[in-house]
Amino acid sequence: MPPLPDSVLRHLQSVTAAPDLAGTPYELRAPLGRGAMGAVYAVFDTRLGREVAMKVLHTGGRIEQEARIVASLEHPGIVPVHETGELADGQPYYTMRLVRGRSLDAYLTPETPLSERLRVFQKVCETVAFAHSHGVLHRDLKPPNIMAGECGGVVILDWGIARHTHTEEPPGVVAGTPRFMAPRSQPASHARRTSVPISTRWACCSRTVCRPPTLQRRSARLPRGPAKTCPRNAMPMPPR
Amino acid sequence: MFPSTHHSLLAGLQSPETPVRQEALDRFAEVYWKPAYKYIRLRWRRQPADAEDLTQALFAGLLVRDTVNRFDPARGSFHNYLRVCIDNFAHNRTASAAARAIPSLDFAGAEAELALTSMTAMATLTPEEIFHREWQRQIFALALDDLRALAAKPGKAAQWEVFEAYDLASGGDERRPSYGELAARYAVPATQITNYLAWARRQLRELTMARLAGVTGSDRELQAETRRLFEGE
Repeated sequence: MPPLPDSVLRHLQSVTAAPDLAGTPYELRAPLGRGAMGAVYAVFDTRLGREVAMKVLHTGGRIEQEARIVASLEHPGIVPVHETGELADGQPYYTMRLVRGRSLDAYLTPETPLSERLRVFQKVCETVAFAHSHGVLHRDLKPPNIMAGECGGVVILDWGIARHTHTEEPPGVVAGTPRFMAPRSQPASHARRTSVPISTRWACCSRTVCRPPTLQRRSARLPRGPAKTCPRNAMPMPPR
Repeated sequence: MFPSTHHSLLAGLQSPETPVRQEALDRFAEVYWKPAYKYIRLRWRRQPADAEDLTQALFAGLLVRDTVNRFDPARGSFHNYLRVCIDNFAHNRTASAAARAIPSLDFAGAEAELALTSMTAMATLTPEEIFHREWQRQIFALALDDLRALAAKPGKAAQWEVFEAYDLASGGDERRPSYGELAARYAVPATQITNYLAWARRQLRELTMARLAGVTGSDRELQAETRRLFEGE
């Protein structure tokens, strides 16, 4: 066998990582993103003649739970789930509305007016508050998971590690992105409603003032145990 | 879906039973010897004979024993830990440290592959990226061997030929034949080309996962290695 040139290697990586949609009514269009648990693709629904987003999980553990949580939250700031299923190779998936827009990372720039930043911030807060009112914690709020869509919509994506407040997790489990985790959410068994507004504030403030939260080094050490107090003076403040 | 990791590679390498240990070592060497050899050649700029001796020593068990005993899964992946160990090994040892030769290692083939490698492109990569890229290449090369063997069974020759013509075409997308051209060449409908490719790609994915499962110690590590395998750049 001759050596694999880089171009062939990249092609094979692409085609083998892509979901096997044989037997489904979907046609693959483009990869949209890849995370720790799975990947999201733009696919074409041949039955209804429209593009939708398909999330495919590497493992089947949480996809039913994730889809149920998202489906239980009917809100303009949360992408509606269409259906769940299993691909020919056994990978579980669910489809949802395809959001066209840009992540907060790309959408908010230093030139974005403060009024627009605050509008986005308010939309995020409304969505988070709605989820909380239904007992759901997102647990991974950060700019890449917030999408500013067309027509002024703002949606929160990737509810992959969300959970209901009444469910228990094994002690010691830490979920989320360290850079954006609220101190009180660590470990995950201590997650509570108060921690998510902190995450929300960090995620939004980091884009509002265009710099990341300043607790990065501290948060990296936090899995050792929950912080007793939230160091408010370390929070980035929006410009006056 | 992830294949189950029935046998821990690390447990196998530490096994007191010689056949079990040897089988684990063979699995380990099959995946990692070529990335290690090329890494030593490119990162440490060792001459071929020197790099051969070091690689032989690595996979004859000198490195493996120490590496396995000191590896702490809580501190990172075995994949990255191994690369650091190769660095230490290459830094501290001379060619005379080589142990018994392992005849199955095709160093001439590895050198031929290096000769075809674009050194200009390699110069832009960090040592970590070089090792990572060669590891990805080796996993896919082994899985392709497995796929070819699978396709040698009756009724699968056309699938392999279409896959080879389309997915293994070098030179990028512009050199790739269209589905219509392939359909005409093999006298089948274009939809059949889609089916052939879907079969081959599904098999290739399963075979790469099986190869990974052979050199990982847990489902969690397998998931992490799978993500690394399918990372592009």
